Amino acid sequence: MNAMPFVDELLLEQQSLTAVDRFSQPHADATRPVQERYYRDLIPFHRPQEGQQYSFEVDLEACSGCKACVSACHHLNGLDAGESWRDIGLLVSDHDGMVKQQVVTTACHHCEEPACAHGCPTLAYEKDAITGIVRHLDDQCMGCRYCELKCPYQVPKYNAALGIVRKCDMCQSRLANGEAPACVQACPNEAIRIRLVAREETSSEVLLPGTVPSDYTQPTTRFLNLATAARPSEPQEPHPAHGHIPLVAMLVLVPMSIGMTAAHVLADQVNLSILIVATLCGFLGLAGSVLHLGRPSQAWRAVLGWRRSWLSREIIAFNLWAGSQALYTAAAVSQWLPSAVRPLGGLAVFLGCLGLATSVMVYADTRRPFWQASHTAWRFYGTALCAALTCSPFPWLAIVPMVFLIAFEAHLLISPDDPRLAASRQLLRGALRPTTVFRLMTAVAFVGLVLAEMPRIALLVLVMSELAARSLFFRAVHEPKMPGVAL
Amino acid sequence: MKLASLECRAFDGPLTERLLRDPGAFGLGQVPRHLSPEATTKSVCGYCATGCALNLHLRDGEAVNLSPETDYPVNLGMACPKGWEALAALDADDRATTPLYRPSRGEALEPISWTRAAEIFCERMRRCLDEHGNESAAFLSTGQICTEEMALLGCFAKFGMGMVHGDGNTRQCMATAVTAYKESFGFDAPPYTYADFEQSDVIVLVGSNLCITHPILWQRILRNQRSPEVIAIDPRATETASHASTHLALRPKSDLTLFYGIAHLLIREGWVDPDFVDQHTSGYEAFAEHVSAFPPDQVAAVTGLSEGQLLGLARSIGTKERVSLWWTMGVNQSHEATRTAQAIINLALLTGNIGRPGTGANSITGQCNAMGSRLFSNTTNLLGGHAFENAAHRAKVAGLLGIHEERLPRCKSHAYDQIIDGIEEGSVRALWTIATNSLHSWGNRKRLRGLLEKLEFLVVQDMYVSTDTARCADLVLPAAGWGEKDGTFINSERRIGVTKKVRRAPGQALADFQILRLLAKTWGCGSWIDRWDSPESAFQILKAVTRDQPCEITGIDGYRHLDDAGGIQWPYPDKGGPSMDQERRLFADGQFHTEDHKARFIYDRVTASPEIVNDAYPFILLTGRGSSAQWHTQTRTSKSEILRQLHPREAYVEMHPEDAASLGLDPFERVRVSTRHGQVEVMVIQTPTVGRGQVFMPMHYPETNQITHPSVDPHSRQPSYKATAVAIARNG
Repeated sequence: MNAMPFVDELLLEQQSLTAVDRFSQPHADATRPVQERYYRDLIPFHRPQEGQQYSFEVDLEACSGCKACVSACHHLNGLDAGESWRDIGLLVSDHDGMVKQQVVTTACHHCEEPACAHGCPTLAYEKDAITGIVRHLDDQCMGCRYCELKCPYQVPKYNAALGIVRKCDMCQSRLANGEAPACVQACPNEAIRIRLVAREETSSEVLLPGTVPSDYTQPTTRFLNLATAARPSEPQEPHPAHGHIPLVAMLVLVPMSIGMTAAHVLADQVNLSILIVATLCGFLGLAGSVLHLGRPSQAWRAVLGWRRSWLSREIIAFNLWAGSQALYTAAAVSQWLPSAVRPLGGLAVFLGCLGLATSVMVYADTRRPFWQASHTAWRFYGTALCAALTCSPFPWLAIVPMVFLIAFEAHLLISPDDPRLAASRQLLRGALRPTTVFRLMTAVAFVGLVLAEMPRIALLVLVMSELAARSLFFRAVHEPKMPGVAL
Repeated sequence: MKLASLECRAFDGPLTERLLRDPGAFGLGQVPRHLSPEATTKSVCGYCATGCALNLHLRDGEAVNLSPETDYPVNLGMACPKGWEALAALDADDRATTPLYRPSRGEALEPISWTRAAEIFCERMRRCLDEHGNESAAFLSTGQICTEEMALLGCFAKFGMGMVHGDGNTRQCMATAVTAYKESFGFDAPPYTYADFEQSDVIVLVGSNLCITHPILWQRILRNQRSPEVIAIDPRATETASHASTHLALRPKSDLTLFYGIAHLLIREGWVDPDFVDQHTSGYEAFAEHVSAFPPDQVAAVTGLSEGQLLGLARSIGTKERVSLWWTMGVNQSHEATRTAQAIINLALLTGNIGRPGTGANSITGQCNAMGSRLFSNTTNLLGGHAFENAAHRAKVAGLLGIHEERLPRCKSHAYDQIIDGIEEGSVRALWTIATNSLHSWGNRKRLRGLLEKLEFLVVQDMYVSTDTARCADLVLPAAGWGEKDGTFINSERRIGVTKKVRRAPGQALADFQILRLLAKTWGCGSWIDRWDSPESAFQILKAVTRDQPCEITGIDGYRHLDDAGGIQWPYPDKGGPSMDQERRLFADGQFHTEDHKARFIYDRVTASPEIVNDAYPFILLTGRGSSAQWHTQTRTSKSEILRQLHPREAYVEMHPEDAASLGLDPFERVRVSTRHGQVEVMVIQTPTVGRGQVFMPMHYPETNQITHPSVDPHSRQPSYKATAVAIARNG
């Protein structure tokens, strides 16, 4: 009978929050962080002196694998859902009958030679002159994600909602105030400390079993008490990497555009429509690469990093190429100033080739063996050369570069001499097998079509074949990483 | 040039601002600017029985963030990732937000009002009890709700509705420890305080992967300044075994033999404390006679340990000044679990390792309020650690509650497995589950699913509508979760702590306490229920009930006292005691709760495991915690994106690489795991941390309990999940 009002009373009570009124406010008068007593000895007393910097030190023997550091980083830094700058991995050792697990907690290593910063086209990374902390300038980032390729430790993390990369800043504002970083504060076992290390101090050969040689970035993190014969426990099976479809398109369409333009410049009798197709192709490729940025409106910042960043140089080179290509196309179509047409064409092709060289370096600079300069140059210039010769007066010449490419790729598949390419080979023959087969079959078909004097169809087949090849270029690369967990 | 490039770089801006930290008040240090609190309050975590206090960061009275509480004597400023993620479980899309009713089987659940839900509950339960008797309806509760809630549930169901049977999922974790302590000490009294971890010379961990099941207790071990020897007894090279000083990888379920063998060695080597045994124990002679049949050579053959290892363990336990022995589910979930726990207790009694700093035979509890359930759930025990069978107890409790004594049952409830069997036999026709997902956590799931469908009326009271059990329900009562209600929890070391309402429950979800009040009012229980008008009033009633019991807490004023004191361990009588310190252990005076005040040596013959390993089922399946980021059936932990990144997403079985090689398995291949009870398909992970002939599956995935062994320990009726014979084969 009176249940209705009683229910309402309960629902009302359920929605009222009274804890503040009913209980005392702890630490109401505290002026310093009360947690200080637990972490005082885990951070340096002094700011870094000349020639020093802050670094993480992780005691693998002290870490019990509770993973509190991961969630503490998330909560104490107010990160978005699922975001944390700390990751967890697992090492297992089986030595002299002693089986042991060691959990690895890892964040940014605040490297002395931060590859992320060196590669960033927009100068969105700042290595602090005093603390050595490698900080990411979120508002400077255009979301190109090149730092993800450059960092061999998977530190920069892309936030799709914001369109930028974010990363660990060693809680620099906390350190500046004498507070420990979130992860250091939160470790029940005092396994994570901040140490001052001498810059230039030679770092160990590798950070942990399975990681890249440390001379690449000179990471400052130290892992103590690594067990004998420890190895990563996660799947040894390599996984296909990110496909980067806009970049696949760009790295096919732009070289082809350059090649076709070269054919047009060198052989005056070639149809104007080839040039127009070439220009449209190239511009389409470039547009795709801009639109794939997290924040395309910030793309203008990409010129800032030209002193160190191959990506910045690539962007500058292709912008110049695009300008000269547009001028050449306009001049050739309008026949305004006929004497300038050829030099303009030459300039466009020259800048295009220069751009391709920077593209090669963009990938070579990640130090991934599959992307080494000599291999990548073959691939990118090979595309341009095949396109150029197919559109030339002697299309059959195109079989020369293509046969070389087929031989090169078959060699990778069959008789590798570099053990560092084993993972890529495994992917090409395993998970990526359909694409590999498609690539090789279309490449052979291209040769056939050229010999059959069907250059236009051959050109279409070439586009498909090279798209497959470029997709393999991205997907079959072995990504260096920290030891992880099987997920 | 430099200046120009600087000008083009955005060191500030809206994106940078998102991650700015400001000094937080209340001693917090820097906090994210957008989550900067206006007040803070501490609240005990609702996951495990460690009982950490979390410091909730409040805005407008509502929690927006949290960090571990600095001063709480349990966790000393730390928390495991589940604690850090405690609020994440509240924001899920699959929260139950309104009562749901299925008018008939085969139809969908439909939203209904609370009034209607309460009427349906009362009508159908009453009809069942009236037509089929008091044993025809039962409840299955949990160690995850507040003490006041489980007490009200037990009182309403038994004294109000007239039910006889109710049990909790605590049967699956702590029943063994309860039974062992009651028989050995005369009361369910875990004797320790967490400071004992810091004060031991030898810490023996039996069937306990403390590093990931109770990370904060491992933290306490690391604070020990006495350079303790930490001995892990576990078939697997767990995280804990990896960090221990000594790992004794015994054969699965050879533990009872091991501890009798150690007792044998202690007696043989003269490492017994004769004064303690003489003054404070009974049954020593017969026990010594019993263990004389466990000479080291035989024990070595059974356990797979060397005689040197056995002697080493006996020497550590027998000769060091302060020895503490700790056990968890590896012991509790076994076919002879109670006797194994008592074999551990016997070692402490033999060597006088009880009642002094750094000693004890100590059961580490699982759920946040399993200890509250042990004293106040009114299931196996009458409220407050009393006995249903004891007339004086019934009179006392009835008097204090204002209930006619005749309303109190004279026998204890059936255990979980007996209630399930009752459904099969047709004696149990209506079931009410509260905050537990039986269909995932109870063994032999297929049978249970069929039985739930057989019920005439299934009521599920839960935070989520998505649990396996809720999907089978006829009536779903939407419950508020941890953080959305007030109450107390009792942790492993008997510490009563306050948990607080700091979030608004979604939709019409109500705290379990309020749901019970509504049901009780609708039922028409009489005026005695009116005194249970708030969790804190209920706490005052429970306080009064504990008078003159070993767990007396009459000295506690109320919630604010508990909150300010950093939790209070029972006993805490108003007349005071030998010590009222913040960290206290029991039995310093050697006086136990038995009639002669002596602890009893209890032992039994060793029995073979009901699971036979043979050619058809050549491996032993062990189960346990997978990672510190997972809790039980993952109903709550799976809601946190952070926690989900910290463990494998799908079920897996761990196997020794050489065993995998002998079966020709590829790494991470999907395999079929079959037992005599069922079969599942999971991924295989090869790791030397499991021994040859053994495999391991974490309990968190629904696959695991489809194939575990359904038998129970005869004394505690706790299921034996830890050793099932299995076959592994390539899938397909």
